[in-house]
Amino acid sequence: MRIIVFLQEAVNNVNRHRLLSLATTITISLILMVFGLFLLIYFNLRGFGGSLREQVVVTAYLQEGLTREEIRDIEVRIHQDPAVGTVHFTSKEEALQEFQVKLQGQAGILQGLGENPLPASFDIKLSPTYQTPEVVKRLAETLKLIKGVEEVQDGLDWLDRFTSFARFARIMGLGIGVLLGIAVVTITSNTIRLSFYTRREEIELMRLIGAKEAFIRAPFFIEGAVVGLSGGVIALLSLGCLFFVFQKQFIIEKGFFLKEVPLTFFSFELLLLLLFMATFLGGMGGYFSVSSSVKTRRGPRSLW
Amino acid sequence: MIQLFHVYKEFGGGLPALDDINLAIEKGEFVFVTGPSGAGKTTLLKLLTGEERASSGQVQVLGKNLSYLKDSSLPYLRRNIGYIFQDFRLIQQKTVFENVALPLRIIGLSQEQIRPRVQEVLRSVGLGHRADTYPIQLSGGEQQRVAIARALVNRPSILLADEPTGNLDEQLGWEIFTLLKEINAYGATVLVATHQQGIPKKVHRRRISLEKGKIIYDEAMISG
Repeated sequence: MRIIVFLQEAVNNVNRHRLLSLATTITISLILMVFGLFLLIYFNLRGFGGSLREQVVVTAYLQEGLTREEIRDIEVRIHQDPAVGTVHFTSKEEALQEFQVKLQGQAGILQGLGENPLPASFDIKLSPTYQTPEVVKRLAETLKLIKGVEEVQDGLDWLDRFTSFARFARIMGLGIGVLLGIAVVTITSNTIRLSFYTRREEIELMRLIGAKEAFIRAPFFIEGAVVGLSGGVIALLSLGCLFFVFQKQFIIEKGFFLKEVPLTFFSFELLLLLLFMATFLGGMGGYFSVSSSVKTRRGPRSLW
Repeated sequence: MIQLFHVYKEFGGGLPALDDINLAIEKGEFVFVTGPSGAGKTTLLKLLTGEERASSGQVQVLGKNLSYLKDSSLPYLRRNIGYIFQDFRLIQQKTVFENVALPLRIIGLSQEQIRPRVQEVLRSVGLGHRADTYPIQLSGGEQQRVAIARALVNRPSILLADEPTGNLDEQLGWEIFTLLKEINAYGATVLVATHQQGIPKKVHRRRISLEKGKIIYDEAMISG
Protein backbone atom coordinates (compact mmCIF):
# COMPACT_ATOMS: atom_id res chain seq x y z
CA MET A 1 0.00 0.00 0.00
CA ARG A 2 2.60 2.48 1.16
CA ILE A 3 5.12 1.26 -1.36
CA ILE A 4 2.63 2.10 -4.14
CA VAL A 5 2.39 5.69 -2.90
CA PHE A 6 6.19 5.92 -2.80
CA LEU A 7 6.42 4.44 -6.29
CA GLN A 8 3.91 6.93 -7.68
CA GLU A 9 5.86 9.77 -6.12
CA ALA A 10 9.13 8.45 -7.53
CA VAL A 11 7.69 8.09 -11.04
CA ASN A 12 6.25 11.61 -10.81
CA ASN A 13 9.66 12.93 -9.88
CA VAL A 14 11.40 11.11 -12.70
CA ASN A 15 8.76 12.55 -14.99
CA ARG A 16 9.20 16.05 -13.63
CA HIS A 17 12.91 16.01 -14.56
CA ARG A 18 12.47 13.91 -17.67
CA LEU A 19 15.48 15.10 -19.66
CA LEU A 20 17.85 15.07 -16.75
CA SER A 21 16.67 11.64 -15.65
CA LEU A 22 17.20 10.41 -19.19
CA ALA A 23 20.70 11.87 -19.30
CA THR A 24 21.50 10.24 -15.97
CA THR A 25 20.08 6.93 -17.08
CA ILE A 26 22.25 7.00 -20.20
CA THR A 27 25.35 7.99 -18.23
CA ILE A 28 24.75 5.20 -15.78
CA SER A 29 24.12 2.71 -18.54
CA LEU A 30 27.43 3.71 -20.16
CA ILE A 31 29.27 3.25 -16.90
CA LEU A 32 27.63 -0.11 -16.35
CA MET A 33 28.47 -1.10 -19.91
CA VAL A 34 32.14 -0.43 -19.32
CA PHE A 35 31.94 -2.41 -16.13
CA GLY A 36 29.99 -5.21 -17.79
CA LEU A 37 32.41 -5.36 -20.69
CA PHE A 38 35.28 -5.70 -18.29
CA LEU A 39 33.43 -8.37 -16.39
CA LEU A 40 32.66 -10.26 -19.60
CA ILE A 41 36.29 -10.21 -20.65
CA TYR A 42 37.29 -11.36 -17.21
CA PHE A 43 34.83 -14.25 -17.12
CA ASN A 44 35.80 -15.41 -20.56
CA LEU A 45 39.47 -15.22 -19.71
CA ARG A 46 38.76 -17.26 -16.63
CA GLY A 47 36.86 -19.81 -18.69
CA PHE A 48 39.76 -19.83 -21.14
CA GLY A 49 42.13 -20.34 -18.22
CA GLY A 50 40.04 -23.23 -17.02
CA SER A 51 40.18 -24.98 -20.36
CA LEU A 52 43.88 -24.24 -20.60
CA ARG A 53 44.39 -25.90 -17.28
CA GLU A 54 42.45 -28.93 -18.47
CA GLN A 55 44.65 -29.04 -21.50
CA VAL A 56 47.84 -29.06 -19.52
CA VAL A 57 49.63 -32.17 -20.61
CA VAL A 58 52.88 -33.34 -19.12
CA THR A 59 54.86 -35.19 -21.73
CA ALA A 60 57.53 -37.69 -20.73
CA TYR A 61 59.87 -38.55 -23.64
CA LEU A 62 61.44 -41.96 -23.40
CA GLN A 63 65.00 -43.05 -24.07
CA GLU A 64 65.80 -44.92 -27.25
CA GLY A 65 65.74 -48.69 -27.37
CA LEU A 66 63.52 -49.58 -24.43
CA THR A 67 61.83 -52.99 -24.42
CA ARG A 68 58.05 -53.42 -24.19
CA GLU A 69 58.40 -54.58 -20.60
CA GLU A 70 60.44 -51.55 -19.63
CA ILE A 71 57.86 -49.27 -21.22
CA ARG A 72 55.06 -51.08 -19.38
CA ASP A 73 56.98 -50.67 -16.10
CA ILE A 74 57.26 -46.96 -16.72
CA GLU A 75 53.53 -46.73 -17.38
CA VAL A 76 52.76 -48.55 -14.13
CA ARG A 77 55.00 -46.20 -12.19
CA ILE A 78 53.37 -43.17 -13.78
CA HIS A 79 49.98 -44.45 -12.74
CA GLN A 80 51.13 -44.77 -9.15
CA ASP A 81 51.04 -40.96 -8.74
CA PRO A 82 47.58 -39.91 -7.45
CA ALA A 83 47.62 -36.71 -9.53
CA VAL A 84 47.67 -38.63 -12.77
CA GLY A 85 44.39 -38.77 -14.67
CA THR A 86 44.77 -40.29 -18.09
CA VAL A 87 47.93 -41.56 -19.71
CA HIS A 88 48.36 -41.89 -23.43
CA PHE A 89 51.28 -43.69 -25.03
CA THR A 90 52.67 -42.58 -28.34
CA SER A 91 55.15 -44.91 -30.00
CA LYS A 92 57.99 -43.72 -32.21
CA GLU A 93 56.01 -44.70 -35.29
CA GLU A 94 52.85 -42.94 -34.18
CA ALA A 95 54.87 -39.83 -33.38
CA LEU A 96 56.24 -39.82 -36.87
CA GLN A 97 52.80 -40.29 -38.40
CA GLU A 98 51.38 -37.39 -36.38
CA PHE A 99 54.32 -35.28 -37.41
CA GLN A 100 53.71 -36.08 -41.03
CA VAL A 101 50.05 -35.18 -40.73
CA LYS A 102 50.96 -31.85 -39.16
CA LEU A 103 53.46 -31.07 -41.86
CA GLN A 104 51.24 -32.06 -44.74
CA GLY A 105 52.45 -30.61 -48.00
CA GLN A 106 55.93 -30.11 -46.63
CA ALA A 107 56.81 -33.77 -46.48
CA GLY A 108 60.13 -32.96 -48.12
CA ILE A 109 61.51 -31.86 -44.80
CA LEU A 110 61.28 -35.40 -43.53
CA GLN A 111 63.08 -36.95 -46.44
CA GLY A 112 66.70 -37.39 -45.87
CA LEU A 113 66.25 -37.90 -42.22
CA GLY A 114 66.75 -41.58 -42.66
CA GLU A 115 66.06 -43.10 -39.30
CA ASN A 116 63.01 -41.95 -37.35
CA PRO A 117 64.39 -39.31 -34.97
CA LEU A 118 61.23 -38.91 -32.87
CA PRO A 119 61.12 -40.49 -29.40
CA ALA A 120 58.24 -42.48 -27.93
CA SER A 121 56.35 -40.60 -25.23
CA PHE A 122 53.67 -40.67 -22.55
CA ASP A 123 51.13 -37.84 -22.53
CA ILE A 124 49.81 -37.44 -19.01
CA LYS A 125 46.69 -35.46 -18.13
CA LEU A 126 46.06 -34.55 -14.54
CA SER A 127 42.91 -35.53 -12.72
CA PRO A 128 40.66 -32.46 -12.23
CA THR A 129 41.40 -31.79 -8.56
CA TYR A 130 45.14 -31.68 -9.17
CA GLN A 131 45.26 -29.13 -11.98
CA THR A 132 47.49 -26.56 -10.31
CA PRO A 133 50.92 -25.36 -11.40
CA GLU A 134 52.45 -26.72 -8.18
CA VAL A 135 51.25 -30.27 -8.84
CA VAL A 136 52.39 -30.11 -12.45
CA LYS A 137 55.82 -29.04 -11.30
CA ARG A 138 56.02 -31.80 -8.72
CA LEU A 139 54.81 -34.45 -11.16
CA ALA A 140 57.38 -33.38 -13.72
CA GLU A 141 60.13 -33.74 -11.12
CA THR A 142 58.91 -37.22 -10.16
CA LEU A 143 58.73 -38.34 -13.76
CA LYS A 144 62.28 -37.25 -14.42
CA LEU A 145 63.46 -39.69 -11.74
CA ILE A 146 61.89 -42.69 -13.46
CA LYS A 147 64.48 -44.83 -15.16
CA GLY A 148 64.05 -44.77 -18.93
CA VAL A 149 62.58 -41.26 -19.06
CA GLU A 150 64.81 -39.01 -21.11
CA GLU A 151 63.09 -35.66 -20.76
CA VAL A 152 59.89 -34.14 -19.34
CA GLN A 153 57.98 -31.18 -20.78
CA ASP A 154 55.36 -29.59 -18.57
CA GLY A 155 54.10 -26.58 -20.61
CA LEU A 156 53.96 -24.75 -17.34
CA ASP A 157 55.42 -21.40 -18.32
CA TRP A 158 52.28 -20.56 -20.19
CA LEU A 159 49.98 -21.59 -17.38
CA ASP A 160 52.06 -19.66 -14.84
CA ARG A 161 51.96 -16.53 -16.88
CA PHE A 162 48.27 -16.89 -17.53
CA THR A 163 47.48 -17.48 -13.87
CA SER A 164 49.29 -14.36 -12.75
CA PHE A 165 47.65 -12.37 -15.51
CA ALA A 166 44.24 -13.61 -14.40
CA ARG A 167 45.03 -12.61 -10.82
CA PHE A 168 46.08 -9.16 -11.98
CA ALA A 169 42.90 -8.87 -14.04
CA ARG A 170 40.81 -9.83 -11.02
CA ILE A 171 42.37 -7.18 -8.78
CA MET A 172 42.06 -4.57 -11.54
CA GLY A 173 38.45 -5.57 -12.07
CA LEU A 174 37.67 -5.23 -8.40
CA GLY A 175 39.26 -1.78 -8.24
CA ILE A 176 37.53 -0.58 -11.40
CA GLY A 177 34.25 -2.04 -10.17
CA VAL A 178 34.45 -0.12 -6.89
CA LEU A 179 35.33 3.13 -8.68
CA LEU A 180 32.50 2.75 -11.16
CA GLY A 181 30.12 1.90 -8.31
CA ILE A 182 31.05 5.15 -6.59
CA ALA A 183 30.51 6.97 -9.89
CA VAL A 184 26.99 5.53 -10.18
CA VAL A 185 26.09 6.60 -6.65
CA THR A 186 27.51 10.09 -7.14
CA ILE A 187 25.84 10.70 -10.49
CA THR A 188 22.40 9.53 -9.39
CA SER A 189 22.76 11.41 -6.15
CA ASN A 190 23.43 14.64 -8.06
CA THR A 191 20.47 14.22 -10.36
CA ILE A 192 18.09 13.36 -7.62
CA ARG A 193 19.31 16.22 -5.51
CA LEU A 194 17.49 18.38 -8.01
CA SER A 195 14.25 16.63 -7.11
CA PHE A 196 15.17 17.24 -3.53
CA TYR A 197 15.68 20.96 -4.07
CA THR A 198 12.37 21.40 -5.83
CA ARG A 199 10.66 19.65 -2.93
CA ARG A 200 12.80 21.10 -0.19
CA GLU A 201 10.01 23.01 1.52
CA GLU A 202 7.73 20.03 1.37
CA ILE A 203 10.41 17.91 3.03
CA GLU A 204 11.03 20.47 5.78
CA LEU A 205 7.32 20.50 6.40
CA MET A 206 7.15 16.71 6.51
CA ARG A 207 9.92 16.75 9.06
CA LEU A 208 8.07 19.28 11.18
CA ILE A 209 4.87 17.29 11.22
CA GLY A 210 6.68 14.20 12.40
CA ALA A 211 7.76 12.23 9.35
CA LYS A 212 10.60 9.83 10.01
CA GLU A 213 13.71 10.11 7.84
CA ALA A 214 12.99 6.74 6.26
CA PHE A 215 9.55 7.95 5.18
CA ILE A 216 11.02 11.12 3.69
CA ARG A 217 13.83 9.35 1.88
CA ALA A 218 11.94 6.35 0.60
CA PRO A 219 10.62 8.07 -2.56
CA PHE A 220 14.12 9.36 -3.33
CA PHE A 221 15.57 5.91 -2.82
CA ILE A 222 12.98 4.50 -5.20
CA GLU A 223 13.58 7.28 -7.70
CA GLY A 224 17.29 6.44 -7.70
CA ALA A 225 16.53 2.75 -7.93
CA VAL A 226 14.27 3.32 -10.96
CA VAL A 227 17.03 5.30 -12.68
CA GLY A 228 19.63 2.67 -11.74
CA LEU A 229 17.49 -0.21 -12.93
CA SER A 230 16.74 1.50 -16.26
CA GLY A 231 20.45 2.18 -16.73
CA GLY A 232 21.20 -1.43 -15.91
CA VAL A 233 18.65 -2.81 -18.34
CA ILE A 234 19.89 -0.57 -21.15
CA ALA A 235 23.51 -1.48 -20.42
CA LEU A 236 22.92 -5.23 -20.37
CA LEU A 237 20.74 -5.18 -23.46
CA SER A 238 23.38 -3.24 -25.40
CA LEU A 239 26.12 -5.50 -24.12
CA GLY A 240 24.08 -8.54 -25.11
CA CYS A 241 23.60 -7.20 -28.64
CA LEU A 242 27.28 -6.33 -28.94
CA PHE A 243 28.24 -9.75 -27.68
CA PHE A 244 26.13 -11.65 -30.17
CA VAL A 245 27.16 -9.47 -33.09
CA PHE A 246 30.79 -9.98 -32.12
CA GLN A 247 30.34 -13.70 -31.80
CA LYS A 248 28.56 -14.00 -35.13
CA GLN A 249 30.94 -11.73 -37.05
CA PHE A 250 34.27 -12.88 -35.73
CA ILE A 251 33.81 -16.38 -34.56
CA ILE A 252 31.14 -18.09 -36.58
CA GLU A 253 31.62 -16.32 -39.91
CA LYS A 254 35.23 -15.32 -40.09
CA GLY A 255 36.79 -17.77 -37.69
CA PHE A 256 38.84 -16.75 -34.75
CA PHE A 257 41.91 -18.05 -33.05
CA LEU A 258 39.88 -18.96 -29.97
CA LYS A 259 37.51 -21.08 -31.95
CA GLU A 260 37.73 -24.08 -29.68
CA VAL A 261 37.07 -22.02 -26.53
CA PRO A 262 33.40 -20.97 -26.59
CA LEU A 263 32.74 -17.38 -25.53
CA THR A 264 30.10 -17.09 -22.83
CA PHE A 265 27.72 -14.27 -21.87
CA PHE A 266 26.61 -13.65 -18.28
CA SER A 267 24.63 -16.42 -16.67
CA PHE A 268 21.03 -15.70 -15.74
CA GLU A 269 21.94 -15.45 -12.06
CA LEU A 270 24.72 -13.01 -12.79
CA LEU A 271 22.42 -10.92 -14.97
CA LEU A 272 19.98 -10.69 -12.07
CA LEU A 273 22.80 -9.84 -9.70
CA LEU A 274 24.05 -7.06 -11.99
CA LEU A 275 20.57 -5.59 -12.33
CA PHE A 276 20.11 -5.76 -8.59
CA MET A 277 23.45 -4.02 -8.12
CA ALA A 278 22.53 -1.22 -10.54
CA THR A 279 19.18 -0.79 -8.81
CA PHE A 280 20.71 -0.77 -5.38
CA LEU A 281 23.50 1.65 -6.27
CA GLY A 282 20.98 4.00 -7.90
CA GLY A 283 18.84 3.74 -4.80
CA MET A 284 21.79 4.60 -2.59
CA GLY A 285 22.41 7.65 -4.77
CA GLY A 286 18.81 8.72 -4.23
CA TYR A 287 19.05 8.10 -0.53
CA PHE A 288 22.20 10.16 -0.17
CA SER A 289 20.79 12.99 -2.24
CA VAL A 290 18.57 13.72 0.74
CA SER A 291 20.71 12.79 3.67
CA SER A 292 23.69 14.88 2.68
CA SER A 293 21.45 17.89 2.29
CA VAL A 294 19.84 17.33 5.66
CA LYS A 295 23.04 18.25 7.41
CA THR A 296 23.15 21.68 5.84
CA ARG A 297 19.81 22.39 7.44
CA ARG A 298 21.26 22.47 10.93
CA GLY A 299 23.12 25.46 12.23
CA PRO A 300 22.42 29.18 12.04
CA ARG A 301 20.21 29.10 8.98
CA SER A 302 17.82 31.76 10.20
CA LEU A 303 18.30 33.86 13.26
CA TRP A 304 14.72 34.00 14.41
CA MET B 1 2.88 20.29 29.55
CA ILE B 2 5.57 22.76 28.50
CA GLN B 3 8.37 23.83 30.80
CA LEU B 4 11.54 25.82 30.20
CA PHE B 5 14.27 26.28 32.82
CA HIS B 6 16.98 28.87 32.31
CA VAL B 7 16.98 28.37 28.59
CA TYR B 8 19.57 30.12 26.45
CA LYS B 9 19.84 29.93 22.71
CA GLU B 10 22.77 31.37 20.84
CA PHE B 11 23.43 31.27 17.13
CA GLY B 12 27.07 32.26 17.44
CA GLY B 13 28.11 35.89 17.76
CA GLY B 14 26.06 38.79 19.02
CA LEU B 15 23.25 38.69 21.53
CA PRO B 16 21.56 35.40 22.40
CA ALA B 17 18.29 34.78 20.62
CA LEU B 18 16.83 33.62 23.91
CA ASP B 19 18.22 34.77 27.23
CA ASP B 20 17.38 32.90 30.45
CA ILE B 21 13.82 31.91 29.65
CA ASN B 22 11.78 30.35 32.47
CA LEU B 23 8.29 29.31 31.58
CA ALA B 24 5.57 26.84 32.50
CA ILE B 25 2.45 26.31 30.41
CA GLU B 26 -0.27 24.04 31.73
CA LYS B 27 -2.46 21.65 29.80
CA GLY B 28 -5.37 23.39 28.14
CA GLU B 29 -3.91 26.90 28.35
CA PHE B 30 -4.19 29.47 25.57
CA VAL B 31 -1.08 31.62 25.48
CA PHE B 32 0.01 34.51 23.29
CA VAL B 33 3.72 35.10 22.86
CA THR B 34 4.11 38.67 21.67
CA GLY B 35 7.00 40.92 20.81
CA PRO B 36 8.55 42.73 17.86
CA SER B 37 10.23 40.88 15.00
CA GLY B 38 13.50 39.41 16.18
CA ALA B 39 12.42 39.15 19.81
CA GLY B 40 12.88 35.37 19.77
CA LYS B 41 9.30 34.17 19.33
CA THR B 42 9.99 31.77 16.46
CA THR B 43 13.14 30.49 18.14
CA LEU B 44 11.04 29.72 21.21
CA LEU B 45 8.58 27.71 19.15
CA LYS B 46 11.39 25.92 17.33
CA LEU B 47 12.83 24.83 20.68
CA LEU B 48 9.52 23.24 21.55
CA THR B 49 9.48 21.08 18.39
CA GLY B 50 13.15 20.19 18.64
CA GLU B 51 13.89 21.94 15.37
CA GLU B 52 16.49 23.87 17.34
CA ARG B 53 18.22 22.74 20.50
CA ALA B 54 18.79 25.00 23.51
CA SER B 55 22.39 26.14 23.98
CA SER B 56 21.89 25.61 27.69
CA GLY B 57 19.01 25.03 30.09
CA GLN B 58 16.24 22.46 29.94
CA VAL B 59 13.22 22.27 27.65
CA GLN B 60 10.45 19.88 28.60
CA VAL B 61 7.55 19.15 26.30
CA LEU B 62 4.87 16.52 26.95
CA GLY B 63 7.00 15.01 29.69
CA LYS B 64 10.08 14.67 27.45
CA ASN B 65 13.30 16.52 28.16
CA LEU B 66 14.37 17.64 24.72
CA SER B 67 18.01 18.01 25.76
CA TYR B 68 18.19 14.26 26.06
CA LEU B 69 15.86 13.30 23.24
CA LYS B 70 17.57 11.62 20.29
CA ASP B 71 17.04 13.00 16.79
CA SER B 72 15.41 9.72 15.84
CA SER B 73 12.77 10.19 18.56
CA LEU B 74 11.81 13.69 17.47
CA PRO B 75 9.23 12.56 14.87
CA TYR B 76 7.17 10.88 17.59
CA LEU B 77 7.14 14.06 19.68
CA ARG B 78 6.17 16.16 16.67
CA ARG B 79 3.19 13.96 15.90
CA ASN B 80 1.64 15.33 19.09
CA ILE B 81 2.31 18.92 18.13
CA GLY B 82 0.36 20.78 15.47
CA TYR B 83 2.25 23.63 13.79
CA ILE B 84 0.74 26.56 11.91
CA PHE B 85 2.92 28.97 9.91
CA GLN B 86 2.51 32.53 8.74
CA ASP B 87 3.06 31.45 5.14
CA PHE B 88 0.76 28.39 5.48
CA ARG B 89 3.29 26.04 3.85
CA LEU B 90 0.80 24.11 1.84
CA ILE B 91 2.11 21.84 -0.89
CA GLN B 92 0.93 23.46 -4.11
CA GLN B 93 0.95 20.28 -6.20
CA LYS B 94 -1.38 18.51 -3.79
CA THR B 95 -5.07 19.05 -3.29
CA VAL B 96 -6.55 20.41 -0.07
CA PHE B 97 -7.50 16.86 0.88
CA GLU B 98 -3.98 15.52 0.25
CA ASN B 99 -2.41 18.37 2.18
CA VAL B 100 -4.55 17.72 5.21
CA ALA B 101 -4.07 13.96 4.91
CA LEU B 102 -0.26 14.24 5.03
CA PRO B 103 0.20 13.88 8.83
CA LEU B 104 -2.00 10.78 8.76
CA ARG B 105 -0.11 9.29 5.83
CA ILE B 106 3.10 9.84 7.76
CA ILE B 107 1.90 7.73 10.66
CA GLY B 108 0.90 5.02 8.22
CA LEU B 109 -2.89 5.09 8.30
CA SER B 110 -4.73 3.49 5.40
CA GLN B 111 -6.74 5.47 2.87
CA GLU B 112 -9.95 4.17 4.45
CA GLN B 113 -8.93 5.46 7.86
CA ILE B 114 -7.69 8.76 6.47
CA ARG B 115 -10.74 9.78 4.43
CA PRO B 116 -13.34 10.23 7.20
CA ARG B 117 -10.92 12.02 9.49
CA VAL B 118 -9.81 14.48 6.85
CA GLN B 119 -13.38 15.17 5.81
CA GLU B 120 -14.39 15.75 9.39
CA VAL B 121 -11.59 18.17 10.14
CA LEU B 122 -12.15 20.04 6.86
CA ARG B 123 -15.81 20.47 7.79
CA SER B 124 -14.82 21.77 11.21
CA VAL B 125 -12.79 24.58 9.61
CA GLY B 126 -15.61 25.26 7.16
CA LEU B 127 -13.90 23.86 4.06
CA GLY B 128 -15.70 20.55 3.64
CA HIS B 129 -16.64 21.52 0.09
CA ARG B 130 -13.11 22.49 -1.05
CA ALA B 131 -11.40 19.14 -0.53
CA ASP B 132 -10.57 18.63 -4.22
CA THR B 133 -9.30 22.10 -5.00
CA TYR B 134 -5.65 23.14 -5.02
CA PRO B 135 -4.24 25.67 -2.55
CA ILE B 136 -3.68 28.25 -5.28
CA GLN B 137 -7.42 28.37 -5.95
CA LEU B 138 -8.13 29.42 -2.37
CA SER B 139 -8.05 32.81 -0.65
CA GLY B 140 -5.45 33.54 2.04
CA GLY B 141 -7.90 32.96 4.87
CA GLU B 142 -9.01 29.66 3.35
CA GLN B 143 -5.41 28.56 2.89
CA GLN B 144 -4.66 29.25 6.54
CA ARG B 145 -7.73 27.24 7.52
CA VAL B 146 -6.41 24.34 5.43
CA ALA B 147 -3.12 24.66 7.30
CA ILE B 148 -5.01 24.62 10.59
CA ALA B 149 -6.94 21.55 9.49
CA ARG B 150 -3.61 19.87 8.71
CA ALA B 151 -2.31 20.77 12.15
CA LEU B 152 -5.46 19.40 13.80
CA VAL B 153 -6.08 16.23 11.85
CA ASN B 154 -3.71 14.28 14.08
CA ARG B 155 -5.54 15.52 17.22
CA PRO B 156 -2.38 16.97 18.75
CA SER B 157 -2.23 17.91 22.40
CA ILE B 158 -0.26 21.07 21.62
CA LEU B 159 -0.90 23.53 18.83
CA LEU B 160 1.84 26.02 17.97
CA ALA B 161 0.99 28.94 15.70
CA ASP B 162 3.72 31.20 14.34
CA GLU B 163 2.17 34.49 13.21
CA PRO B 164 -0.96 32.69 12.01
CA THR B 165 -2.72 35.90 11.06
CA GLY B 166 0.34 37.77 9.83
CA ASN B 167 -0.64 37.50 6.18
CA LEU B 168 -4.36 38.11 6.71
CA ASP B 169 -6.46 41.24 7.21
CA GLU B 170 -7.95 41.92 10.59
CA GLN B 171 -11.36 40.44 9.82
CA LEU B 172 -9.80 37.13 8.70
CA GLY B 173 -7.42 37.32 11.63
CA TRP B 174 -10.36 37.29 14.00
CA GLU B 175 -11.88 34.32 12.18
CA ILE B 176 -8.68 32.34 12.58
CA PHE B 177 -8.40 33.37 16.20
CA THR B 178 -11.98 32.21 16.87
CA LEU B 179 -11.09 28.88 15.31
CA LEU B 180 -8.01 28.57 17.53
CA LYS B 181 -10.16 29.36 20.57
CA GLU B 182 -12.54 26.54 19.62
CA ILE B 183 -9.63 24.14 19.28
CA ASN B 184 -8.45 25.23 22.72
CA ALA B 185 -11.92 24.63 24.11
CA TYR B 186 -11.67 21.01 22.96
CA GLY B 187 -8.65 20.58 25.22
CA ALA B 188 -5.55 21.39 23.14
CA THR B 189 -2.88 23.63 24.60
CA VAL B 190 -2.47 26.53 22.18
CA LEU B 191 0.56 28.78 21.83
CA VAL B 192 0.30 31.69 19.41
CA ALA B 193 3.34 33.78 18.54
CA THR B 194 2.47 37.16 17.04
CA HIS B 195 3.96 40.61 16.64
CA GLN B 196 0.48 42.10 16.29
CA GLN B 197 -0.78 43.86 19.37
CA GLY B 198 -4.46 44.08 18.46
CA ILE B 199 -5.96 40.69 19.13
CA PRO B 200 -3.89 39.71 22.20
CA LYS B 201 -4.79 42.96 23.90
CA LYS B 202 -8.48 42.68 23.20
CA VAL B 203 -8.95 39.14 24.43
CA HIS B 204 -8.34 37.91 27.90
CA ARG B 205 -5.73 35.28 27.55
CA ARG B 206 -2.34 34.80 29.10
CA ARG B 207 0.21 36.95 27.34
CA ILE B 208 3.97 36.53 27.40
CA SER B 209 6.00 39.39 25.96
CA LEU B 210 9.48 38.87 24.61
CA GLU B 211 12.03 41.51 23.82
CA LYS B 212 15.61 40.91 22.73
CA GLY B 213 15.30 37.31 23.83
CA LYS B 214 14.08 38.04 27.34
CA ILE B 215 10.64 37.67 28.89
CA ILE B 216 9.63 41.16 29.92
CA TYR B 217 6.05 40.40 30.81
CA ASP B 218 4.11 37.25 31.66
CA GLU B 219 0.73 37.42 33.17
CA ALA B 220 -2.09 34.96 33.27
CA MET B 221 -5.10 37.14 32.44
CA ILE B 222 -8.46 36.36 33.91
CA SER B 223 -10.16 34.46 31.16
CA GLY B 224 -13.19 36.07 29.62
